[in-house]
Amino acid sequence: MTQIPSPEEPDPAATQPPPARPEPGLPATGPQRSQPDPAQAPRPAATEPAVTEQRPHWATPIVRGWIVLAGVAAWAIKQLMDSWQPGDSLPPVRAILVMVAAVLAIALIQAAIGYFQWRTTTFRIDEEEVRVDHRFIQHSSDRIALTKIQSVDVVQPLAARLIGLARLQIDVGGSSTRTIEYLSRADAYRFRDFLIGRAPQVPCDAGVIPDAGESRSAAGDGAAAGTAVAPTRPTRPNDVLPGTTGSPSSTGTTDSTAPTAPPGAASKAPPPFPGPGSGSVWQDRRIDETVITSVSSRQIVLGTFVSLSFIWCLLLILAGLAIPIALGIEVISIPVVLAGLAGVFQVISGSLIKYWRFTLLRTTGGLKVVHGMTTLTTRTVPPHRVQGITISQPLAWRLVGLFRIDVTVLGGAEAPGRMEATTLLPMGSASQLRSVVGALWPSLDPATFLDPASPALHPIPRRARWLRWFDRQTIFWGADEQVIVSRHGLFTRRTAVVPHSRVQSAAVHQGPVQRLLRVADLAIQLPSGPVHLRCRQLDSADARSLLIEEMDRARRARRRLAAD
Amino acid sequence: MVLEWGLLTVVLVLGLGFIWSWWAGLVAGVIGLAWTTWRWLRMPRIVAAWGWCERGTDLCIRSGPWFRTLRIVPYGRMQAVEINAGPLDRHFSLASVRLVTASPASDAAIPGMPAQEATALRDRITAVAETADAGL
Repeated sequence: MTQIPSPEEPDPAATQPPPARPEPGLPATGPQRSQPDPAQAPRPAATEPAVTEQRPHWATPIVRGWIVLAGVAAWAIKQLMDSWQPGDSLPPVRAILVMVAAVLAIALIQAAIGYFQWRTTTFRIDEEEVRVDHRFIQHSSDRIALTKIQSVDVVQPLAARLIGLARLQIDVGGSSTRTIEYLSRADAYRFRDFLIGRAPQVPCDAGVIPDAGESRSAAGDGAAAGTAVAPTRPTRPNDVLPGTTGSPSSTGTTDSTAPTAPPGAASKAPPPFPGPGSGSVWQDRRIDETVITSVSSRQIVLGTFVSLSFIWCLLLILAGLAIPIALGIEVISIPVVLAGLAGVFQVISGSLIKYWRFTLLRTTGGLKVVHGMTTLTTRTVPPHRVQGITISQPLAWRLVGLFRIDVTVLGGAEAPGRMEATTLLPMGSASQLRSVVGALWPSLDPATFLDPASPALHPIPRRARWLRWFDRQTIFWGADEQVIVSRHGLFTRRTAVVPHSRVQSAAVHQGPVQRLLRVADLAIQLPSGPVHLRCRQLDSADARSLLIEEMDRARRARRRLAAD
Repeated sequence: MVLEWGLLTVVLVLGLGFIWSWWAGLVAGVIGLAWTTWRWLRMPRIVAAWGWCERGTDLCIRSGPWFRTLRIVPYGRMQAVEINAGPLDRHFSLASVRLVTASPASDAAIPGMPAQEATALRDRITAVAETADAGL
C-alpha cells in the first residue's frame, strides 16, 4: 500500500515538468541514521527528494465515497424489506434488480466523478512551497510557502486507516487549513516530517518563560547550555521521564547531531529522518522522538466513566427506567432512555474513542500528539505558538486525581474541526501533568500554581462573598515573574496559566455592586481558544496595581523574547 | 447612541403594532421612550466616563459610569488601527478609533474623538508600533 513518488508516474496534465527529479524517493534507511560526515548533514536532498509532484493515492475516491455508497445500499435494502410482504414466498425479483441497478448506477457515477477529481488533482512539494492544484470543474491552485506552515497534522479516518491511507492537513496560521487527501501512510508521514523540518524553527522555550533563577538552576542551566550548542536540538534528556523507552535512542540522536550541525546552518538544515520505525497502523513515532507522556487505557476508561456527563446520562437512563416502573406506565420513558443512551454513546465516542492511546511526543517541530481508536490523528503543536493553558479538573476527577490540559494555539482555533486540536492531555495524573507542562515551558514549575497552598496564589477578600456566596473560597489569583494565573470553579476547577509575553491586552471590569464591595475583575485577553483568564473579584486596589504591573511585566517579557 | 435607541424604539413600535397588536406596540413604545429619555439624560455622564491616555507604549481606555472598565492595550500587540466616522460623526467632525489585536476580546475603541486628534493618534500609534517589539 505504500505508494512511492516515482518518476515514471504518467502525468499528461502536468503543465510544468519538474526541472530535476532526483532518485525515486525511497525512504532512505542506511546513510541517514547516523551522520558521520559534516558536509552531508545540511544537505536537504539527502533525506527528501527536492521536488515531489504526484497525485493523491488512487484509492482516494473509494475512501471518500464509501459512506455515501454504504448509506445508499442500506436505504435500498430497507426499501426492499419494506416492500417484501411476509406472506410472499420469494422476494420480488424485479424490485431487487431495480434496487441493485440503482445502487450500481450511483456507484458508477460516484466512481466517475471521483476518478476525474483524482485525475485532475495534483500536488507538488518542493524546496519553497507546497502547491495543490484542482482542475476538475472549478480550477484552483493553492500555494503554501514552506516558511508559513505552522503545523502539519496527519489524520487517518477508519476507512483510510484500514487500507493504509492518511490525510495531510497543513495549518498556515490563519483560519484555513489546507488538506491533501489521501496519501499512503508512509508518504504522509514523510511529507509531514519534511514540512515540519522546513517550517520556521523556534526552540522549545525561546524565552517565553524566563528561568525562575536559583530554584530550578539545574534544569535551567542544562536547557540554556543545550540551546547554546544547537538551537534546534529537539530532545532534551533532562525532561525525559524516567522509564520511557525512547530516552536512550533520543540521547544517541542528539549526541550525534549536535556536533555535526554547524550553529549557523543548524536552523536551515532539516533534522535527519530515520527511515524505520516511522509509523504504523497503530502509532506514529520515529526513533528520534521521545515520549513525554502517554495516557494508559486504564486512565482513559477511568476518566471517561468517572466523568460527570457520563454519570448524568446513567442517572437519566435509570430515572427513565425506574420512574415509569414505579408508577406503572411504560410508554413515556422510552425517549428519556434513548436520550440517555445517546448521551452515553456521545461521551464514549467523544472521549474514549477519540483519545484512545493518547501519546505526547517531543519531536523536531515541537510537540506531537497521537491519539484515536478508529480515526488515528497525529498533530504537531509548536510550543512557541501556545498562548496559554487551562488545567481543568471536574469534581469526579478530583477523587481519582485526573487532570486535563487545554491550550490556546495561535491561529489554530477558528478552523473547523479544530476544537479537539487544543487538548494537550485529555486526562492524566499529576506527574503526567507536570511532565506535559515541563515539555511546554521547561523553566516553569507547575507547583507554583497547582498547589492550593502555594504562596503565589492569593485568595479573594471575604467581602466578595456577597457576590460569590457559593464559590468564593475556590477563587484564586496570582502572578509572578513568569506567568499570571487565575483559578475558579466550584465543581470543575479550572486553572488558567498565561505567560506574560503572550498577554494581548488586559482590562479591569467593575460593576456597581462590585464598586460597593471594593472588588473588581481583571481579564487578560488572548487569541481565541479555550483559555480564558479572568481573575475574579479581587480587591480593587489589587486589581488596579496588578493591571499596571501586568502591562510592565508583559512589556519586559516581550523585550526579552525579542532579544533572544 | 441615543439615536440608536430611539430608532430601535420606533422600529419596535411599528413592528409590534403591525404584526401583533396595538397594545404591544404601545407598551414597547412607552418602555423604549422611557429608556431613550433615561439614556439621553445620562449621556453627559456616559460621555464623561470615557477617557483615554497614553502610558509609555500602552494605550489606556476608561469607560462606563456604572460598569467601569479600564483596559490597557500595548502598542506592540496592535495589528491594525481603524478609524470609523459615520455621517453624523462627520457632521460634528468626530471619529472613533479602534485598536485591533490578535485577540477578538480586547475591544479597545475610543468613540467620538475629534477627527484631527483621531488621525494624529493613529499616526502616533503606528509610528510607535513599528519600532515597538511585537514579540509574537
